[in-house]
Formats: sequence, structure tokens, C-alpha cells
Amino acid sequence: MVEPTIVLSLGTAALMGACATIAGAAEDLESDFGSQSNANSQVQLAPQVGYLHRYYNKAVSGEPVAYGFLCCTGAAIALALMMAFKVNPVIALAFGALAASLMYGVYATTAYMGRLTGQKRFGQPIYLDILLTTTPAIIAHAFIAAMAIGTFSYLMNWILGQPFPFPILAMLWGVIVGGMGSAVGDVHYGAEREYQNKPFGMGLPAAQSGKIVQKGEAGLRNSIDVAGYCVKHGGPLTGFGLGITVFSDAWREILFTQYWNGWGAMVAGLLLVLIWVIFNRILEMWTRKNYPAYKAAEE
Amino acid sequence: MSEVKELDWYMLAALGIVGGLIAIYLAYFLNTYMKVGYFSFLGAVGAILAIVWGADAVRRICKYGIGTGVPSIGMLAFGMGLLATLLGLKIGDYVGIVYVGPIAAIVLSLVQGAIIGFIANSVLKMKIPTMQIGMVFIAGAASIILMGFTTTIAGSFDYASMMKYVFETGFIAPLFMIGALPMLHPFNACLGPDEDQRRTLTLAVEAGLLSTIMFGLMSLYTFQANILPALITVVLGLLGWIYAYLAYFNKVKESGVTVLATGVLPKKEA
Repeated sequence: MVEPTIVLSLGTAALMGACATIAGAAEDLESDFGSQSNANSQVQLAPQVGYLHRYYNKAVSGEPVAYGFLCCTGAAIALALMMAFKVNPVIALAFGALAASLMYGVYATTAYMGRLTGQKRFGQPIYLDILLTTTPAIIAHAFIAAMAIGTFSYLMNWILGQPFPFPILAMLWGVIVGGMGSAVGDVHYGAEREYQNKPFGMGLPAAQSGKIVQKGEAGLRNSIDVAGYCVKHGGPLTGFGLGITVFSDAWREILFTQYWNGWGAMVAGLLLVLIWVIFNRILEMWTRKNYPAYKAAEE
Repeated sequence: MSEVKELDWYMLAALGIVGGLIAIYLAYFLNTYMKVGYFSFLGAVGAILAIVWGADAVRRICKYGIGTGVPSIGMLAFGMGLLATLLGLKIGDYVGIVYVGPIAAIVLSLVQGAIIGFIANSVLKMKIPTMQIGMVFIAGAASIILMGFTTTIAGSFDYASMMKYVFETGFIAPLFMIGALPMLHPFNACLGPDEDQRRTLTLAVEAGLLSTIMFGLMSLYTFQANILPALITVVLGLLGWIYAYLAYFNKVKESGVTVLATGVLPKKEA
């Protein structure tokens, strides 16, 4: 623990927000590399309805669980290294995140091979080049996410004085970033490209399940193309979502804890949520009014 | 289904309970009486035996079409196992005989699994034939996995060291997550009409060894004065993992799925 002053605490909150933004963006892109979230069931279903493809199929588990174990493992190993060898926290966090993301990559490869072997009768081959080019990208993005989340969990414990040990904080934030990537990032993955030949806003009828987009602008489409596409909106928006959550949460806690015996922070949080809900509702109504269901150009 | 006869799950249960307990007790006995930590890796051996058992139980429950529910089943198992294990180890602590702890923990988690399985099948009316006994099995497996990996991290499974080295450090978070993962991941990864028990269980061993490496690294915290025990766990885990990963890859290649270096999509016969 260092002696917290309000300036130091607010600076830490800003740094944590920045880390969270990076973590969120990396998380969303990583899940796109592996077709982990929304599209995973479609990618898996596609061979069964005759659509062979070159997508990576990473069924480690849902995104929240996957990020829970990735981040808490990285943080725990960092803690052990800090204690055992008195390593600098930054280096320890990097080593922890490296070990955890390598483990994550191994899980991704076994899942890719396992899922395709489990349905070999549908004729989907295992492409080794997909395995060898996509897995390093998965590991790299998982490393960035694990490192960023480990770092801001450590800051939360060390400077803001959050009483939980930081591997537990990392697990909680990992689950949160996974949930957020599922909710925010998916909109840009699933709804726009993967199901592009369906009318806007119609959802996915059962009859069209598994009809994924096989061909891209240059040859066959694969998971790396998807990430290249999502880097424009899905990744940054997920990062923005997590960053603003972490920052506004730390900010209201630092500034308002001193009032009403700690209840000030609670009231500020409640007000913040209220403002957010109202703002979202206004935005939604405005969007629905200005962008209604898709219409063909009039003759 | 393949022609190879499947391993019976009661046999795997016996292997998990008896083998797991023997490994955990042996690790504790050797560590305590020789006053060293070198035998902590035996805890991971016990955990891996339980992982094979648990992965098979998850597989048999989830075969009834709980596709997306596989990770949930694993997390549920660990929720049940953790509570019962803590209570069991506390009982061992309370009566003053450490060896009572693991047996009490397993008995309690089996009972808890039976109750929750009964609720799932009869009250919630899920009507899955293997649910009742499967719940008992996954709760028991989770309990042994927790105690086995606690022994790997802390060198002992008694209540005080679990509190000191697993809870206060926050290692309970990875223990919960990557302890549960080897149990739920194999079936989650291998499911499908051409799933094969031996391939799934090979993957369970591979994932268990991968977690062993991670817990070995974490045990650096406990063994910071003399890092040799942690080093033994990491090196043995790494060697075992390489072997198991290659074994799994061979099983994938043997299964008859087409493995291509690269290429465009093959023409599919109608």
C-alpha cells in the first residue's frame, strides 16, 4: 500500500480506465479470431448443413468463463513470481500473462481439433495452416487482455486499497470483460457480416442456421478476416465499454466515499446508473426513429 | 459409437476416489514426516485421476443434449465441491486428526451431489437418466480435484494451510477456474456424433497436466524459501503434458478426420 492522496487515486483511476480500454478491445478481437461467442454455434453447425468453411472453431467455454480463467491465472502467477523472486511487478505481470495466454492457446488448439474430430462425418477437414496462423494471433491478443486486466487489478489492490487479493479481482474483471465482449462486440460480428444475406433486424430463423458466409473479398473467408473487419467497430466499442465502466466506477468511489460514511459512493453510483439508463433509452428511441427496418431503393 | 469397449464409469469412479485419496494422503504423509515439500506433485497426480473420473461423468450427463450447458455443469460441480470440501476439511481440523478431513470432504460432497441431483431430476423435472448419479460423481470429483491441487499449491491439504496459501493469496480463483476446466473442457471440446471416450479422456489428462504446470508456478509463493518443490511440479508437469498433447494429436489423426496442411474447401459428395 502507498499513502493514497486524491490526485494519486484519480490518476490511478485514469490509468485503470486506459488499461481496461486496451483489454476490452483485445478481448473482442481475440474472441473473433476463435469464433468464440455468438457465431461459434453457427460455425460449428455449418458443416452439418453442407457449408464447409475455413473458420477457427474455439470452444474453450463461453467468453466470461474463458476470460475468468485467463486473467486470474495470469494474476496468480504474477503474484507468486513477485513473492518468490521479488521481481518487479511489471515484469511479473508480463510473465504471468504470458504463461496464462500460452495455456489459453493450448486450450484453443485442442478445442479446434476436438470439435472437428467429434463431427468428422460431416467432412469438415482440420486445416493445419489455420491452426498455425490463427493460434498465435489468439495468444497475442489474450496476452494483451490478460496483462492489462492483471495490471489494473493490481493497481486497484495496491493503490486504491481494494481489500480482495488481486487474483480474485482479476477473475471478476475477467468475467466482466468476457460478458461485455459477448454483449457489445457480438453486435458487430454476428449481426452485420456473418448473417449479411438476411433482412436487417429479422434475427436468425432456424432454417437459415449454419449458412455462414464462406467467401470473402479475396478468396475464402476465415477468422482472421473477421477480426480484421471487427477491428473497426467491435473491438474499440468493447474497449470503450469496459474502459468507461472501470473508470466511472473507480471515479465515483474515490470522490464520494468520504460522504455519509461511505454511502455517498453508493448514491453516486445509483445516480450514474440512472443517468445512463435514461441516456440509453433516448439514444435507442432516436435510433429506431431514424433507422427503421431495411428498405430497398425505390424504383 | 466406436467398437472399442468403453471404460465403465463405476470403475473410473473407484479409480478417482481410491487413487485420488491415496495420492493426496501419500503427498501429505511424505511431506509432513520428512519435513520437505518435494512430494507436493503427488497431489496433482491425485487430482488428475479425479479429473479423468469427473470428465467421464460430465460426458455422460451432457450426452443428453446439454450442449451449451457443459461449462455450467463444470462450474456447478465446483460450487458444490468447494463448499463440501471446506466443511469436510474443517471437520478434520476440529477433531484434530488431519487425515479425517479428505474423507469427510468426499462423503459430504457425494451427499450434496445426491441432493442436488435429486432436485434437478425430480423437482425441476429435467428427467435425465444419468443426472442423479452423475451429479454425485462430479461433486465428488470436484472435491478431490480441489484437495489435490491444494496439496500441489500449499504442500498440504489441512484447513490452516488451505486458508493461508489458497484463500488469503487469492489462488482460490485459479483453483476454481483451471481446476474445473480440465473436467468440463474435454467433453465440451470433443462433443459431437463421432465423440470417442478414449480421446475425450486423453484430453482430460492433457488439460489436467496443463493445470498442474500452472499450479506448480503458483506454488512458488508457498515454497519461496526453497523453490525446488515448485520446480519439480513444473518440470514433471511439462514433460507429462508434452507426452499427453502428442497422444491427443495422434488420437485426432487416428480418428479418420481429414487433416490437411492447407487448401481450399474439398468438394463434398452429395
